[in-house]
Order: sequence, then C-alpha cells, then structure tokens
Amino acid sequence: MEFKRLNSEIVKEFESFSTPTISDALDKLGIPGGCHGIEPVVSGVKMAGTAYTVRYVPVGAVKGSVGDYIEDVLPGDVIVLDNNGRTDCTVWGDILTVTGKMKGIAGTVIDGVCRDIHTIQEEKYPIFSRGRFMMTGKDRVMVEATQVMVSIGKVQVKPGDILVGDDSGVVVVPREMAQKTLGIVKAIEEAENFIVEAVKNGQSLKEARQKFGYHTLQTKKA
Amino acid sequence: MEREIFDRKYRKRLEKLSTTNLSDALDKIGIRGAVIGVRPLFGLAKVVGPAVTIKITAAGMAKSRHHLGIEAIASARKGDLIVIDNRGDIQNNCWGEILTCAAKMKGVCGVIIDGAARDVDMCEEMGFPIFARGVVPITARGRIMQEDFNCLIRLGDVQVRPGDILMGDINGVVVIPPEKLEDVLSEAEKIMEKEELMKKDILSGLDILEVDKKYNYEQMLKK
Repeated sequence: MEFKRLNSEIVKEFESFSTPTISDALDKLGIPGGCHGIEPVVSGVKMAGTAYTVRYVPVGAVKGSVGDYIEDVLPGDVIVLDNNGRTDCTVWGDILTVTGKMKGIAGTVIDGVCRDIHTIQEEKYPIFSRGRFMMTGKDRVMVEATQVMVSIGKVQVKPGDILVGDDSGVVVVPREMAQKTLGIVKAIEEAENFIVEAVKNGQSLKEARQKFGYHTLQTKKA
Repeated sequence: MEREIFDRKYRKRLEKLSTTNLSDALDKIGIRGAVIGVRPLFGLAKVVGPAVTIKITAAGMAKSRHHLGIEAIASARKGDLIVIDNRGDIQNNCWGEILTCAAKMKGVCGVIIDGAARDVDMCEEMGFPIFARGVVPITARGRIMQEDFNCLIRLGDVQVRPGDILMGDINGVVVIPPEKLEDVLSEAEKIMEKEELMKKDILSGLDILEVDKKYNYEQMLKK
C-alpha cells in the first residue's frame, strides 16, 4: 500500500498527549480510534509511532512462516500485528523484543497475544496485546501480507497511521487526519488543564466544568 | 478443480455424507478442516460447494468501492458457497435479505459467515441457508466493510482459499482442500459405512461392549 510518511515532528507531538485525550479528540471528529480489548503488557511505558502492518492467516494448504519482516521496519515505527484476535497462539516473543529494542522500534501492537513476558518486562519494550500465552504461532499461522490495511480491536489501521499507547491502551490516528486531530487534542488538553487549575483555586468542579465546556469537549459537531 | 469435474464426480458423493464424517476423515488424514462455532441459523439444511471468499475489515478512512458482498455475488457461479471472514465478530452484520435475493438468483447454495447475519426470517422464507455465529439487527454501513474478495481468508482457525470445498450442516462446517478431496471422500465413506454397520448391530440387539470390540471403535481414526 503506497502512502506518504508523516514527519516525525507530529508523531513526537502526539507522544506528549495521553490516549484518553487523543480518543476524545477522535470522538469529536467522529473517527473510531480506540482499540478495544488491547492492553499494555508492560505498565508505565509510552509508545508513539507510525504503523508497519502485518496480517496473519491460519496455515493450511498454503504454507508459510510467522515472517521475517522486522528488517523492513524503520526506527520509530510501531509494528502492528493482526492475528485476528487469536489468543491461542503467539506472534511475538523474546527474540523479536530484543531485535525491536535494538532497532529502535517504538513498540508493538497485537490483535492477538505474545509470550516471553519476562524479557518484555525486563527490556521495558512497549507491547500492547489481548493477553499472554506461551504456545507458538509457528506452524499455526503465517504472514499473509505486510504493509496492508489491517484491523486492531475493530479499528482500521493503514500503513503509516499513528498509533499511541499508554497505560490506558492504544489509539489509532488515521494519517490523513493527524493534523486536524492534533489541533483538537491541544484544545481539549488546555480546557482540562484550566478546569484542574480552577478547582485548585477553589472553584467548584461543576462551575469549572461549565466554564470550559467539559461535558461536550468530545462531542461531535452536528 | 474444474467446476464440471466437481459437479459430476464429487457433489453427489459429498451430499450423502455429513460434516462429522468429513471431519473424522480430515482428522485421520491429518488436515485441519473443522470450523468450530459456525452453525445454521435455522433448519437442517446441508450445503456443499466451492468457496467464493470475502474478507471484511473495520470501516475507517479507507473506503470500500462497493457494499460488501456485491462483487463476490456477481462473480459467483451456480452451486458456489459464499464464505465471509469477519473475524468471528458477532456485533456487526455482514449478510441480509438483499444479498440473499441476489445470491439466490445466481444459484449460490448458501452463505457461511465467521460473524453475524440479519433478516434471518426472510432468508429462511426464501430457503437460503445461513451459517453464522449470531444474529444482529444493525447495518454494516459505517462499521465494517469489504476489504477484498476471492482472496485467502480465515474461517474459525481454518484457512480458506477461493475454490476450497466447504460443507455445512446442523453439526457445523468443514473445509476440504480440493487437491485432497478424493482422499477425504473415500476415508469419509469408509467411516460412514463402518458406522452404519455398527448402528445396525446395536439396533439388532448386540451388546455395546461387543460392538465396541468388533469394530475397534476408539481406534477407528488411527492412521
């Protein structure tokens, strides 16, 4: 899939905001972005980067392997593995973790599960998945395609889209909406900061929320 | 496999068997082919035919050119089965009345969905079997979309290529690679014949322990 890479500046900007704030901004634009059911394996790590996507299918009459795509991934990218939500076989483990860390890859998001949790935690490598398991994906699933449109937690991910992950989960910002989303993210963040400040200065939460339009910060314009 | 060969040589033989016979034969040969959890939404229909596949994905900024299913139905031939990969999602619909009408006109014999369908009452009335994981009232529009058709897909944990042979009945769904069809069929026929003999013996009063010993039932699928 052909696409224009976003500059790293905008990715860095997104990294400074939380996934809840980004999700609220996407709600305001009417774009589905939160990857439901995908959770951090290591807590306290932040991830932001552009998607390098991999799609898996079960091994069958057509045979294949779990892939050697990592050489094609650029530093700062997020590896996005669509294993159809399967929790019975893994597509990520310690060897990929160490390699990913070495290559400066921003993190990995799996609609599926991973193993070798000890190494992942030791390396503090950002991984977001449906959980953990130990049985391998080898001989069970195979890479069908790389850099194609995939689905993660029921959200469409295209190569080059921005993925941000933190303790609350993972959110996808479509690359063509990145600039517009960022503007709204900043406005929401600002309003929320004002509310906190106002409360700290003795205003009631109700008043502060009213003043900065808290209840409709994320509401899509009709 | 040529369609004419399938229809002439295999369709009738397959129709005499059940998905359980075929699943046992696939186990015996060592092919993963049984799909778990996809069942008929009504009736006791049995469907069998070559797959026309559809891959569904999440809706988003990238849009689909057509409503899901349209191109696949247009490409289908009489006796085909439409097979839809929606990742087991039971919250979104990928088949309804309009698609049933169109598929029926093409002579498609049924649809098998790793996901959900709607307008099930109308589909039953039209006598068009639907195999799925569930039923929902909502539309696919804006929620999911067709990514591709006649491509490699996943059904349960089984790989399906366009043209693979699928059978669905009240027990579920099995997928058979055409290149193994002859082997699978002859094993399944042997298994069915053996079980028919066992049934006959049991119903004629032979003790179940005797029958078990006579037919070596537990070891039946040993290679």
